[in-house]
Amino acid sequence: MQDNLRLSHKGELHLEPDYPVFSWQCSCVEKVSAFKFGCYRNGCLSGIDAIGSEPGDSLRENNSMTDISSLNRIGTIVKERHEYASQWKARSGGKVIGCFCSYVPEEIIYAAGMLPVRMLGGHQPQDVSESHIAGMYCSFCRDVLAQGLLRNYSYLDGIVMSNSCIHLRQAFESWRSYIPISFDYFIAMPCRVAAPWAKPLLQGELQDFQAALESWTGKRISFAALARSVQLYNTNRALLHQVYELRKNNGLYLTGAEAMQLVLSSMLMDKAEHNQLLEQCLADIPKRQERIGGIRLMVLGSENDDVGLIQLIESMGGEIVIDDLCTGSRYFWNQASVDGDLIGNLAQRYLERPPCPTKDVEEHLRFQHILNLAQSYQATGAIILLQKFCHPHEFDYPALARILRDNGLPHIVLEMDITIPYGQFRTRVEAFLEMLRKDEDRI
Amino acid sequence: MKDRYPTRPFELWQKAKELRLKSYRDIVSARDEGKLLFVGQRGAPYELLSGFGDFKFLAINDYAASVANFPDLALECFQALEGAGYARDLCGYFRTFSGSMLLDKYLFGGKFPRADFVFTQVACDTNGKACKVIADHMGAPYISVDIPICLSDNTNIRARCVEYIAQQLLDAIDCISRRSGRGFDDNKLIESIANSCRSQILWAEIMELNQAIPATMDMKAQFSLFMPLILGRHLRETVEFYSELKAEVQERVRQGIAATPVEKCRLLYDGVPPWFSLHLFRLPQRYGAVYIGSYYTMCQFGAFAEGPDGRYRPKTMPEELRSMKGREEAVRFLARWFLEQDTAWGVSLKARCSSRVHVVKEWHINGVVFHLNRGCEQQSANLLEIKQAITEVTGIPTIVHEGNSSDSREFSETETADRLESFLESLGLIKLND
Repeated sequence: MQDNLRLSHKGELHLEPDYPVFSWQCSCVEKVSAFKFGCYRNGCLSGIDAIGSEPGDSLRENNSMTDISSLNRIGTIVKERHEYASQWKARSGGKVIGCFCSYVPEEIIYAAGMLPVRMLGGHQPQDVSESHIAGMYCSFCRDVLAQGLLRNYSYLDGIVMSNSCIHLRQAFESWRSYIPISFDYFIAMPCRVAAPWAKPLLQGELQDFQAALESWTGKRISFAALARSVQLYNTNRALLHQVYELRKNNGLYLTGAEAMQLVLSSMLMDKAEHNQLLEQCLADIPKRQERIGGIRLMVLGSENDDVGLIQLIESMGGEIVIDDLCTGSRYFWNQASVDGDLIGNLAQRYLERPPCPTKDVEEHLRFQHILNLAQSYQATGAIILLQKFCHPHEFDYPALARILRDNGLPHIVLEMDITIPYGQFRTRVEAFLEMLRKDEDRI
Repeated sequence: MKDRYPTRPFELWQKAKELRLKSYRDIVSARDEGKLLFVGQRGAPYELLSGFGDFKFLAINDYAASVANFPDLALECFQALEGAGYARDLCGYFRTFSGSMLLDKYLFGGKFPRADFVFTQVACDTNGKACKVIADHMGAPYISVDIPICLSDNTNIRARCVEYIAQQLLDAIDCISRRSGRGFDDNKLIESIANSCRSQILWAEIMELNQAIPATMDMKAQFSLFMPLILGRHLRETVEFYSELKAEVQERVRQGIAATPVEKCRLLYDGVPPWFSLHLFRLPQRYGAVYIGSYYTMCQFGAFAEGPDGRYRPKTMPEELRSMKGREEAVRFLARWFLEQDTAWGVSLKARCSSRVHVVKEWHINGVVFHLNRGCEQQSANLLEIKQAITEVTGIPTIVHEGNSSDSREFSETETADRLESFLESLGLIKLND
C-alpha cells in the first residue's frame, strides 16, 4: 500500500489530505468529487484517520488519549444529527424547530415541549442554493439553505430566526418561501445590545414569540415549564463551562475537537439527555491519562461547525484550548436568572452574552472578551476562521488583528468556504505552529 | 404610440448640478463656519440634527458614488483600504469612502474633512460596522441608531420598535448636546421633518408622473435630479427645488416631451448602478428602449405606499405634522416614518416582491434588468428570488448582470453591454438607424 493511502473508519480507501487527487467515496459523502481530498463531513475526516480506526483515533493515540464511550456517543450524534432529531421526534411525539442563529431563545421552544436544533451546513459541494442566494453571500448561509432544499431537514416542523446578519436572513427567507414548513418566526433581535432600550424591545419580541408558539401548538407554556427549561439550560451551560475549565491548564484531558463536539451536540440534542451525557463525560474525562498538549491556540471568527478542521489543526501539534465562536463558547457563556420575570431574564441573557460582531456596533466589546479568554486559557496564538464574505467579521478583522498583535498574540486567518482546502490549510497551520515554536524556544 | 417624440433637456438640470457641487464644497468649510459636520450613511435619520442649527452631513454612499465616477482615484482608494487589511468583498461605498479618508484626499479638493460626529443608522450589516471604522479613524464620537429588522410588511409597525428608535434618537440629542455644548431647538427639528416628508413625497409624485407614455425622465436624468434629495432632504430649498421640478415634469407630460425620441419598450433597473459606467444606461435608446427608472431611484427615495385602491401611490403629507409639538412627539413620528417606508430595510421578501410588482404593472414595464451588485449586500439580498417572483407574477422578461457599483475591477462593461443587447433583441427590438 502506498504511504499516503489510508483506510477510513468506513473501510474505504483514501489518500491523505496532502495529496490533492482522487479519493474513493466515503459513505458519508453523497456526491463524489473527483478532486475531493477526503470526507469532510462533521467529525468524519476519514482522510486523515489511521488504518481501521475510528475518526480522530490517530489523534488520540498521538496524544495518549483513551477512548471514552460518552464522548464517542457525542461524536456520533454530531455526525448523525438528522437521525438523532428524527428519532427524538418519533420517540417523544414532539415537534422539532430549526434555529437559524445562536441568538434564538431555545429555552422558550424547549419549554413548549419541542426540540430546538441549530441549523448547520453539510460541508459538501452542492448546486441547489445558487438560484436562491448568489455566490457573493457567505458559504454558511448557502450551505444551510442547501440542506433544506436537499430535504435533509425534512423532519423540521418549524424554523425560527433571531435577527443576526443579512446572509443568514436570506437563507431564512428562502426557506420559508420555498420549503414547506408549518411554522416560521422571526425575532427582531436588536443590534445595539448594550443600549438600555434594547431590553424592552427584545422582551416584547420574546413575549410575542412565546404567544406565537402557544397559538401554533394550542398549548400554553406555563411559568413552571419555562422555569424548568431555563434551569435545564443553565445546568447545561454550567456543565459546558466545567468542560472548558478542563482545558485551562497544561495537562490536558480533552482535545479542542472533542470540546467543540460537546458544544455542537448541545445545540442538537435534548438538553436533559445532553446534561446526562455531559455529566458522564465530566466523570470519565479526568480518568484519562494527563498529557502535555501542543501549542495552545485560540480559534475565533465566523460560524464554524467543521470539527474536522479543528482535528486537522490539532493533528499537527496545535491544541485548541479556547474559542470565541457562536458554535463554541459564545453559545453557553452566560446564564439566565431564574428569579422573577423569566422572559425578561432571557432577554437580558441574550443581550449580555458575548456578542457576535453584528451585535457589537459601537464599542468593540468583544475584543476585550477575546483577550480575557486568551489570557485565562493561556493561548499563545490565535487562528481566525473567516467564512468567505462574512462581512461583520471582515469589518472587525483589521482592528482585531491590531489588538491581538498589541497584546502579543500572533494569529493567522483561514478563509473558509463550504468545503475546506485541507492541504492548503495544513501548510499554513504548520508554518504558523513552526513560527510559534520558534517564539517559544526564544523565550 | 408615436414613432418619434419631442425631447428637450430639463431646465432644472443645471440647478441640480450646482446644488450638488455647492453641498460638497460647503462640507469643506463647514467647521470653519462654526457648523457641525456629521458623517454617516445617507439613510440615517439626519433630520434630527437640524435641532442643533445649520449643519452639514457628508453622506458616505453619495460621496462614494461620486468618487466611483473616477475609476483611477477609486482604485487608489481600494488599494489604500486593502493595504489596511480590509477585505475586497466589503461594501463598495465603504471601501471608496474610507479609502479616500485614509488617503486624506477629498474629491472636491483639499484634505479629507474631519467630522465632529459620525451618525448613522444600523439597518444592514455594513452601516454600523463601516461607521465604526470611520469614527475610529477620525477620532470622532460615534452615534448609531439601530433600526430593528422585523421581516414583516411595513403596515404593521410594532410600537416597541418605534419606541426603541425614538429612545435612541432622544439619547443622540443628549449626547450631541453634551459633547458639542449646543442647545437643541425642537421647532427646527419639526420643520426639518416636515421638509423631509414633503421632499420625499414630491419625488414620489414626480416619479408617478413617469407612468405617462412616453416617459419624460429616464433613469440617467434621475441620477442627477435626485441629488438635492439625497444631500439635504430636510431643507426648505430642497422642497422648493422639487416643487419646481414637479411643475416642470407636469408640463413636459402635458406637452408629451419624452426622455428619448423613440420609446418602444420601457425598462426598469433594479439595483445600484455601476457609477463608473453610467453611459451604459443610454445604450437601450439605440434600440428604442428607455429605462424609466430604477427601483432604487424611484422607491428608495420617494415616499410611496399602497393606496386604498390597491395601487402604488405617493404618500400624502401626514396630518400629525400640523399639530406636532416637542421633540418627544417628533422623534416618535420620525421613527415611525422610517419604519413605514416601503423600501425599509427590514421588510420581508414577500413585501419587497410586492412593491416591485406594483412598479412593473403601474409604470407599464416591459423588461427588468437586475444588478447583482457585489458592492452592496443589502441591495442584492434575495435578488434572484425577487427576479423569479416578478417573472412568475407579471410574466415579463428579466435579466441579471453581475458587477460592482463602486469597483470597476469587478465589472465587465463589454460583457454587460453584450448581455443587455441580447436581452433587448429578445424583446423583439432591433437597433435603430442612426
